[in-house]
Amino acid sequence: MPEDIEAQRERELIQKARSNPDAFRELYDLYLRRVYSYVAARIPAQADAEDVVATVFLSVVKHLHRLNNHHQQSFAAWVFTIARNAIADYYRRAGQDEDDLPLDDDLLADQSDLVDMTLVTQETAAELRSLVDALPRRRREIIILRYFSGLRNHEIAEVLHIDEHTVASNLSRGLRQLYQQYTVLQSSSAEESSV
Amino acid sequence: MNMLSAQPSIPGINPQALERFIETLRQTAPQPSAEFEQRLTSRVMGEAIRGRGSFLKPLFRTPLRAAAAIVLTISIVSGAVLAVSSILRQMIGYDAGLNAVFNSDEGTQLNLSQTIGDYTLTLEWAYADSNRVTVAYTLGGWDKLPTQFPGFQHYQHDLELTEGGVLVPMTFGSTDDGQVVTSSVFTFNRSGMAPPDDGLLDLRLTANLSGWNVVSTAEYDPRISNTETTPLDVSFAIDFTLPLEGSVRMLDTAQSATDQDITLTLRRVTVTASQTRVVVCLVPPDPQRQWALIPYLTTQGVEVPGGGSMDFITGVGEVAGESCNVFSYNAAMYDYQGDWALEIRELVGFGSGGGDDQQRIAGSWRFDFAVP
Repeated sequence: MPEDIEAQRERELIQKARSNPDAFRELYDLYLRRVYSYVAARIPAQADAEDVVATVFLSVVKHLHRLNNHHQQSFAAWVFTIARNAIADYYRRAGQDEDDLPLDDDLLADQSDLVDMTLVTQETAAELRSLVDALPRRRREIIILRYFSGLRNHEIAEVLHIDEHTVASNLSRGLRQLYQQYTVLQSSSAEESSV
Repeated sequence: MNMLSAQPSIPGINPQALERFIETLRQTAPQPSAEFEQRLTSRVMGEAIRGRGSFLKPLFRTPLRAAAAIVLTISIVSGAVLAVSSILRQMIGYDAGLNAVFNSDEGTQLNLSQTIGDYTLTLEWAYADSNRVTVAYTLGGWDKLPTQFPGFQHYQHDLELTEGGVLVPMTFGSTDDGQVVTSSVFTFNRSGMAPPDDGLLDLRLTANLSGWNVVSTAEYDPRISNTETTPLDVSFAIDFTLPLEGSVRMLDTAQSATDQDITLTLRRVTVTASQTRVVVCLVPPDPQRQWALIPYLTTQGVEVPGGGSMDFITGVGEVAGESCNVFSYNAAMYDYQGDWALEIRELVGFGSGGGDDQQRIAGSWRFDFAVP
């Protein structure tokens, strides 16, 4: 569906959702998995990620009436800003830093059980997730927002309060780095298999 | 739903291979379990049906003032259409942290105006992160002052910013164009405050005008003037919402350094997009005095700009008997990933006898750290 028609449809849906629970349900269904992917990619412990996702959507219900066009902010940017703040709050309360968490193979394995297995094996998923987790913080977040949660560049720029050029530049560099690292890993695995 | 902008093309990587890789990457996104989806949906829809958040609230709230007729003009534009006035832009530029934020389009151009009689307050630009909230505004009409209030030489205004409670002012800069308009940039402390659930701050800016004039000079020293300040019954109030840039990097530590038999402890470093705050504590060598520390903060040997502001602070993990200083640096250091070095070069103990009642202790207390 062309982007402008899709955006228009979403605006109409948001307007209705403020007073119509069915419309709100439709909006919620559009965003649940996208938000979950973002939160769970940043909080490895599944139960904690679920709690934070719940907090996000309860905040959306509570504050939907405040969303306006004053700051030209898109709905997606608004929802993901709530999610981002909820994640920051989680780490602050836990007294931990996101970057200090060890890349727990068991946690990644837990999550890769829930990955869409159409194209990806558990091993591939775990490998790729490890590479994503090893990216610098801002770049990692941009990659997650774009490829796990489907945000457009201008929406990512709104959420992170940066300009679109910075988003595009980080995407390009992040993808290049991931692609090259992943390609090396795949080659090493192929060599080991052939030995 | 097609949710993606055009895919980036990366030199040296076959486009089809990149597309396959992106699809693989996308497939590794974590997904919720069916049980969690069902459980959450019940809960969220329950809240939605009970009607929370199902009504619109007014965008702006305008208080009525019985003493004056108020004309509220709202001009809401995107940043691409109207720019901040040149004087305000210049003043923002004096602050390295705000300058970086402004250049990255991270603040909000508001252009909210309120006119009371001949005076107009225009809130042009504002920015909020976890350390501070800054408003840049103009106040026009002071050329009317002499005719309306003969004998008054100028007006002044006090400013208050509230977010629930009153925010503590930190720094203030003001200048006028010599004719009509006063331009001001005012920063308020927001450190230690919880972020709002939805990332939006509800703020109220109030400003009260006063006129002042010189009423006499001191007999013993004509350089000293006695002034009289009179409220002008012109009180502005502008309510607005502002997104909070919630990214913050924080180091909580207890790194100590000892010199002159005095131990200083670095307790906390907080870095946001526009400001860095460093907290150092000590058990006062003389508890009858209030001790200020003289810091020198560097990264890779280069002094961090925008310093010079110091305050006393509590509730930062200090131990019993410690008093703490917080130093603020108005610099854009959020993206800096390297090492920091803080050296305290002097302790100044202020006694109760006034400005000259000081005890100074020179030394070197050094802290090397990294901010996660």
